[in-house]
Amino acid sequence: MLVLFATASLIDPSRAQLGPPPDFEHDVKASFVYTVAKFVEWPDRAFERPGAPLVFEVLGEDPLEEALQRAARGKTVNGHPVEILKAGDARDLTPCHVLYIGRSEAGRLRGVLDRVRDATVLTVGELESFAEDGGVMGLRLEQNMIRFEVNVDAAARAHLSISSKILKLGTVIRERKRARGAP
Amino acid sequence: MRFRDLSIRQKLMALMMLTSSAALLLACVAFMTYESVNMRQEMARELSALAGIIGDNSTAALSFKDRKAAEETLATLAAKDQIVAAALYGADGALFARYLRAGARPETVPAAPEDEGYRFVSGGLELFSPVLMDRDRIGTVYVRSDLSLMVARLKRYIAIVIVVMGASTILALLLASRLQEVISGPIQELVETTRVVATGRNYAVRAVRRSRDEMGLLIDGFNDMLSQIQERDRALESAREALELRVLERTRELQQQVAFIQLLRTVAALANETSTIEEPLQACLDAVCALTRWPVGHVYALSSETPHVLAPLPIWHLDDPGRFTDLRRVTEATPLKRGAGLPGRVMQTGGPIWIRDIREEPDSPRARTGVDIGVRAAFAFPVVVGGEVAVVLEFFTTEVIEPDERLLQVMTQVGTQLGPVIQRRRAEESLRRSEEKYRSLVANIPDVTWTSDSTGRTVFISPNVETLCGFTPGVIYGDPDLWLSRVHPGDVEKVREAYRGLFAGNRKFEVEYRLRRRDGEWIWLYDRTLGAYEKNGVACADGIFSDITERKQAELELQKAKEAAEHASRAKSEFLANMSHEIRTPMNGIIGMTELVLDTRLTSEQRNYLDMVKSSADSLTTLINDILDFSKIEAGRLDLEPIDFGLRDCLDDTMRILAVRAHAKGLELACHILPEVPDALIGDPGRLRQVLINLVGNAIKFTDRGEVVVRVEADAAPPHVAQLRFGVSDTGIGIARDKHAAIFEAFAQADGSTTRKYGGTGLGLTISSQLVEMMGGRIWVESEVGRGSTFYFTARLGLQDKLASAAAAPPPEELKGLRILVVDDNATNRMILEEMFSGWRMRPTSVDGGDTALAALRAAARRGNPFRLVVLDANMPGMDGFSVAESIQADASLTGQDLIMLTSGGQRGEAARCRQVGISAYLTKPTRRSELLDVVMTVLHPATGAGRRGGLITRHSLREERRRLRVLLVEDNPVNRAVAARLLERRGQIVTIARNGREAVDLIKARPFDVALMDLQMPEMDGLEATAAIRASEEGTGRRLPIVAMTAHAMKGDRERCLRAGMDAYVSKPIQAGDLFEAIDAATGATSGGAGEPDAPGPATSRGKGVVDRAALLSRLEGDASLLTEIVGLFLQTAPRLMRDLKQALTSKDAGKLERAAHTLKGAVANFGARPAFEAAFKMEQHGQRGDLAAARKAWASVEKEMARLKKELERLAEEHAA
Repeated sequence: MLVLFATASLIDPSRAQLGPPPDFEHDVKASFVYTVAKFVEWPDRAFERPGAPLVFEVLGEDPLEEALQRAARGKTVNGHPVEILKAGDARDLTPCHVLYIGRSEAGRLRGVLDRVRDATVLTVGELESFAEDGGVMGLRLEQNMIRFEVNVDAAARAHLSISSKILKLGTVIRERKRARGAP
Repeated sequence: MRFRDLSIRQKLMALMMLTSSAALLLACVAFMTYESVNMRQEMARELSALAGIIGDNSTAALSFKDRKAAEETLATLAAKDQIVAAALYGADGALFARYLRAGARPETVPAAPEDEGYRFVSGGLELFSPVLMDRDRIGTVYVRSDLSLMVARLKRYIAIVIVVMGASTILALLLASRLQEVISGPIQELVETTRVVATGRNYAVRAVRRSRDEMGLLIDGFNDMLSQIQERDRALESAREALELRVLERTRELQQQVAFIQLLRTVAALANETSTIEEPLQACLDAVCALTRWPVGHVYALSSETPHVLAPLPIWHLDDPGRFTDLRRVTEATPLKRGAGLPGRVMQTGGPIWIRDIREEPDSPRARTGVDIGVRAAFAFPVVVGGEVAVVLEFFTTEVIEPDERLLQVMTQVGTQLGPVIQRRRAEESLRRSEEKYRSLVANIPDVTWTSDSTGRTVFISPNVETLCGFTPGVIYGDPDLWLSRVHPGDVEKVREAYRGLFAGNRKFEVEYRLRRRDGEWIWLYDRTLGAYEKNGVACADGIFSDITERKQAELELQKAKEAAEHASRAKSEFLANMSHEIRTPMNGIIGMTELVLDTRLTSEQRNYLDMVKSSADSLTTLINDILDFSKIEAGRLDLEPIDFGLRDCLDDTMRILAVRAHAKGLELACHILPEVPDALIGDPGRLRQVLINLVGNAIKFTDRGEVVVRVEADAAPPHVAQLRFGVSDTGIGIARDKHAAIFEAFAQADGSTTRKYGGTGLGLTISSQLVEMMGGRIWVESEVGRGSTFYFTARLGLQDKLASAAAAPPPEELKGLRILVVDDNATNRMILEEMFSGWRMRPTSVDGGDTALAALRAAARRGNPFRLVVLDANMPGMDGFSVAESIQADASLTGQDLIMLTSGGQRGEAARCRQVGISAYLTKPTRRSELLDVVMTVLHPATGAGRRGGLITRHSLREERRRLRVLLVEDNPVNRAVAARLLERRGQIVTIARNGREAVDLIKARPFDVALMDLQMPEMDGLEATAAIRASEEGTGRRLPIVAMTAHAMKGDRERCLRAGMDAYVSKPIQAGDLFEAIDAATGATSGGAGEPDAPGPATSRGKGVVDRAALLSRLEGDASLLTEIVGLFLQTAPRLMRDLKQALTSKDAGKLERAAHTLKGAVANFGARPAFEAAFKMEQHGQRGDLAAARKAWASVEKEMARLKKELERLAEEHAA
């Protein structure tokens, strides 16, 4: 149901004709991440001051970090300049506003999510049942289109207000009992 | 019906309705407009809001390119019916999603977003609005709505407006129809009142006022106006009535005045029309009585017998004669003295008098009678003539009437008018009486007097004309053409002319003419008048004619007798003329034969007898000639034949004829023509000569000693006419004063005895006087016995046009100032000669004898100013001319003078004596002026004239001279010169040589020539220059010397050049005798005399190849061998010099000089027909002309060769001819 087109503004039209290039997938994902940020409201305390940078941190998936650089460098989101960082290690995370967690962190997902559990961080990942597992927004690439799920509980936990406008576009899920039951 | 013609009521209603409807309509329109604008704005706002919602709802769809989500958002618009279409465009402007209402066409949606904002398009409103997210524009939303909502609302509004308007109109109509009454009511009432006033002319009606507003004021004003009109009408009515009264009054006055004027006019008219005194007076009485309606009017007039007494005239106006019989009787018996009675008092005062009642004046002479028959009022007024009361008019009536001053004034005027009338009538009366006297006088004289006006109409003719011609004056007055129609046709023009002259030029006339009486008999009338005068602006003339028939008959008879006598006389003269002619023929035979016999050998006795026969025959011939002339004159058959002639020549010839007789008697005969006397005249010189011969002949005849002098003077005369006075004076016996008239009558001489002593027919003077008369002059004599006579006559002669002046050709320049001594014992001769010489601008001195002459000559020589010429009279008392000449010759101190002898004699041997004593010229007296000039010129220039041959100059030699032409030959080449001179001299011409142009010009200045032959190429001054100089000197003198050019130039155009330079003819060299003479003849316009025709030039073919063309040469020289020898000699002499010149030119390389030298050589050889030499020289000349000296040097050899050959040939030729 959720379909995102790879638009001409994000990809090279000549390459588009030749089929998806190696980076196409990342570009689409980077654009999505950047756009989603626009529909998300962080609490004021998430920023040191008004106009402080909105920091994107990419964990585990280097090409995405590069694609993000391409898509969003120099741009602003709701008055905040965009800053893109590359996380070195799950244990060594820099405070950020959007944290993309790559496929490579499948084993360490739990720990990573726990580490940012109470932080005002919009976690985005592509792992299977990312949202169900406690991530705020899980992505899935289907036939060159991005579909997403939003874990509104996780969002509430992170004090993020996600615009209903995008909630209409994705799937809203709630945490399982287990999760509910967990501290 | 137009609006302005509607009633006030209708207008008011219409105005109200219109106002309310307009206000309502305006309100509705404003409301509708406001609503519509409002609705549109509302609609736009609504659509913007809608678009904002759509845009906001679509941000996510747009951000994530979720078309489906977008379309769903758009689809929510289906709830809004009016939305036709909607669309979303991406940030790149591409259509992203759209919505279309069912039935809407897809193309409703634009393919790309347009400018933001809303706009109304056809049938709808569309709007583009940006979709923003995070202040970034991520797309555009488009919404289009139709206007269905708005239209529906508007429709509703309109329906409401219509309903409201309808309702309000009805309400307004109801209100208006009630309210207009307030204004239109009073107006209607006013209109009604006006109508009543207008139709009924009833100004008493008043309109009712109901209110105090403007309407009320209007009604008040209207009522006021009506009152004023009413008032004015009343005033007008009364004014009109007063005016009528005054008009009536004035009319009456006017009528009276008109009556007075009428009276005056009547009196005046009558006075002028009538011819007696009584008539105007009677008319005046009648008129005054008619005017005043008084019954009695009468006239008193100043008595012609008793002074200062008025006598009653029998002139009355009586309306009722019966009643006033007594008054009339008494009045006519009562003359009144000045101051007595009414007329007497009028006479005394000179003015009119009015008596209102005669009973108040009982002292009046006629008072009692008047009172008795009931006369009461009276007035009288005077007629003044010449300041004196002449007539008094009196009037009476039977009522008492107060004086009417105006009437009296008029009467005074009547009197004033009558005054002149009466005066005139009196004058006419006396005129008539005098005229009657005149008429009876006219009727009683035998001549007929007449008066005619300028139209020829007879105004008056005395009655006795009837006894003269049978017509009464009445008939003559009635028919203006009658008189002239009775005049004899032969006299009509004369009569007409006389009358025309009378009236056109106011000339008096006396004319005799024939008139046919009524009974057909012709009578002669002698009609005369003293001229015209003007009468009443018409020209008139008075005249008298008498019957002169008897006198005329006598005259006619006399005339017939005279004509018969004259005819007889003429017949006699003719007979005489015929007889004289018949006698002359045998007389000629006698004289001729006698002369022949006298030439034969005769004894002295025979010769003596025959001389007497001849002299008798001569006398008889003279006598017969005189008789012939006389009878010709008598018979009227002598006519003058006027021709051009020279007076001086004519007189000189005449004098010469007479000189012989004068000299034979030892008389001096001189002719003195004053210089101002013109010479070129038109007249009959033969007859003039005849008169002179007669007069001079007589003078010689009646003079034994002394002189006879003819003197000619010119009197003042009109142009083109010469009035000459001739005087012939002698020192003869003279004529007694009482014979002066008789001598000019036929067959009369001063004294019967003279006829016997001197002979002659006595016809000479008669003939002369007749001839002089025919020449328009008269003849008379001044003489005393023993003291000589002078016969004078005048003659009127024509002047020739060309030389009307007295002066002939100007005298030669060289005579100017030349000293000349005149020696003559006769004073007249001295004077004549002196005058002649002075005329030539010489300086003459005259002396009366040989001794004084010698003294003068010596004195002059001593002073170093000697006389150049001496004119000697041969016959002088004491020392005669020859002795004087001898003495001069003998005196060594007297040299350089030439002597001219004038002699009366011409005796044999004189010429020889002249030569002996060194006299140059010898002339018999009287000498011609021209002859003397020729002699003087010839003496001064012996080279040119006969003197050249050393001979004595005589009249004969001069005459010879004159036939010859004086030719000036201008030529530098001696050969040519010799040829031309010889040819000319052989022709008898006098040739003078000039070597170049300058010499020629000088010679021409010094003396006259007849023609000049001019070479063109000459040193110093060439022919063309010389010609120009000559022509320039001739400028203004009228002279023109013919110039013939001679040229070796064979070039074309030479001729033109010569003629242009002023030359007259042209011959080319070498000179051909024929050509030369022809050219001279052409130039001088005469045949140049000479010894016959020259031989024809030799044939042209004779130009052989030989060195010399002998035939041609001889022909050119006319076979003159000696000339040939001469010119050959000359050529041989000059040829070396010519060759030398040529050679020199060659060596000095002077082309110009070479050309000239060759030209000269060419000319020289041409004379001999030396063709080869000529050609050689010609070539050389051409080389020189071109400046080709090299060629010239080459040509030199051939020239030298040819010249040598020519020389040899010519030498041989000369030898041959010399041999």
